[in-house]
Amino acid sequence: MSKKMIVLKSSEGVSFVVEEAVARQSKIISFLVEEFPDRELPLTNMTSEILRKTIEYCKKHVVEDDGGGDSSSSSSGDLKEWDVKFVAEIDQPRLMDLLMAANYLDIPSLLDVTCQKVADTIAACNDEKEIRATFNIENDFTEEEVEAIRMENQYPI
Amino acid sequence: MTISDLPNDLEADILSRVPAKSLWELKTTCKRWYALFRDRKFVEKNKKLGEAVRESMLLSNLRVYSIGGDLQNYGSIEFTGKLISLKDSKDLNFSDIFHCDGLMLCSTERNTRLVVWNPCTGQTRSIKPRTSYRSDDRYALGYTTSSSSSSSSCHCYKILRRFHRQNDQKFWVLEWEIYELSTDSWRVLDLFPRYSVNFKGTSLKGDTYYLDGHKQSGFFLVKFDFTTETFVRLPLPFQILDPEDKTFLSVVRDEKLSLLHIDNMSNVMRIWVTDKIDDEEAKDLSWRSHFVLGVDFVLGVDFDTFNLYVENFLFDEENKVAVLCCVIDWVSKFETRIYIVGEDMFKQVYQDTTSPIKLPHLITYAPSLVHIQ
Repeated sequence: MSKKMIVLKSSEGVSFVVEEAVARQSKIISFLVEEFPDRELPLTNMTSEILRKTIEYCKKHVVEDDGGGDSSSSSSGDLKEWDVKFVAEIDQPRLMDLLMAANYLDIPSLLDVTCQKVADTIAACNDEKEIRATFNIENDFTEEEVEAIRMENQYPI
Repeated sequence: MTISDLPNDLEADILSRVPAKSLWELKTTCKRWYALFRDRKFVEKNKKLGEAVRESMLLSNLRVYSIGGDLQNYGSIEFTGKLISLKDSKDLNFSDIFHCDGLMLCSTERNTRLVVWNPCTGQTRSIKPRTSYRSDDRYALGYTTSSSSSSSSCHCYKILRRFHRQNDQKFWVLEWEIYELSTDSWRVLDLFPRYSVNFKGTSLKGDTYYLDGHKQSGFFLVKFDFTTETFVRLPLPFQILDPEDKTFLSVVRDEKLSLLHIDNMSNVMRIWVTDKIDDEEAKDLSWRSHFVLGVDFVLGVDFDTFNLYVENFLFDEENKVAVLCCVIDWVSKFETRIYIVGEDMFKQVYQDTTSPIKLPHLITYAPSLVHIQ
């Protein structure tokens, strides 16, 4: 049985041939292949690198429905472990791009793991300086304002 | 691409997954975040998603101590020894703490002051009396859930005060009044029948539960419903026939109600748990019995249980381990003791002298960013 393939095109114009079942984990792609069958789908705001990562995730998470109970994909425990490793290997800026891709393509499970990874990184930061450096956030507080906030929450009982 | 470039709702979604305590330490990262952390909708979302690491504190001898880790995971109790400094709390002696939803309602010795405190953010608010507080007042903090203005539900906090008032015939009668934090005002409640509620209450999902009754008429459970502002009577899972039996009430992880019952005849301690408290007409609370232990085994045989008062207790249903915060009346002196007990373990982890007006209280809570309005 031949599987139906579709073509996704990155912002650099690189084409990726993907099984439709894999790509359909994106609700957007799922919608698009129904509306425009047999056309390649340009994803102009996604680089090849991020698109490749996204496809890698979707391949791992595709639910095989060819009937074979045992031969089907990994158990949920293994899959969770795989997810953790998958996001751990990506550096911060790319993780953000992947998160945006998951948001844009509407892949809820990928959005969930990437959001959680970012949240864990935030929780691991010790202070404002570290978090600003990690996420390139601009400090728009003056020293006086910070001091005022500190005073406000100093148990003025 | 950085976190600031994300759409606002996505950024908020990520931040809501971070435990409240970590967020608050990062509050002055940027103005947008600071505003977000005080947003009621965000705070509610954070409570659900933030997988808060629970914290514990102990009131002992009028002082509040933070205890390392989550007591409801047990094993051991570790006093970080650090007194939670309510600024220079030298002159502030806390006689009681009532926990609700990450907020503490603290009353000072002889109820000279009443303060709502969020230990996670450090925010406090002093609550002024309608006329004056009395030293035999009893307070409870609760909330109602409003879903009016926006799509999300927010908690509106209220304080219930039980007090004694001398009526025209010079009799002392029990009265109740309620304070709303949003309007900063007290009003008297007309409650009948008047439950005496002589025991300390415990808060669960916004309402307060009490043990009530008399040796003659039997004991029962009473819920004060902060939404309807009325009492609802509920059954206990057992009949207390022996007036010397002891029963104490607690909550498990802000989700379930638990009861500790010591049978005077058999000296058996039993803990019951129910999570059927949401049913409005909860006639049958479906109590599950757990953890049957001989008190002699649990607390040693060196004293009579007659002198033992479990001020409060915490129970880990999964691991069947309880932490008992007790006061022992040795006639000549009073002692606070904390025990960790399980089916085959017994450990005393804390001991201090105390007095009947300095009762201890053990709290485990999920820190939250709730802003006291």
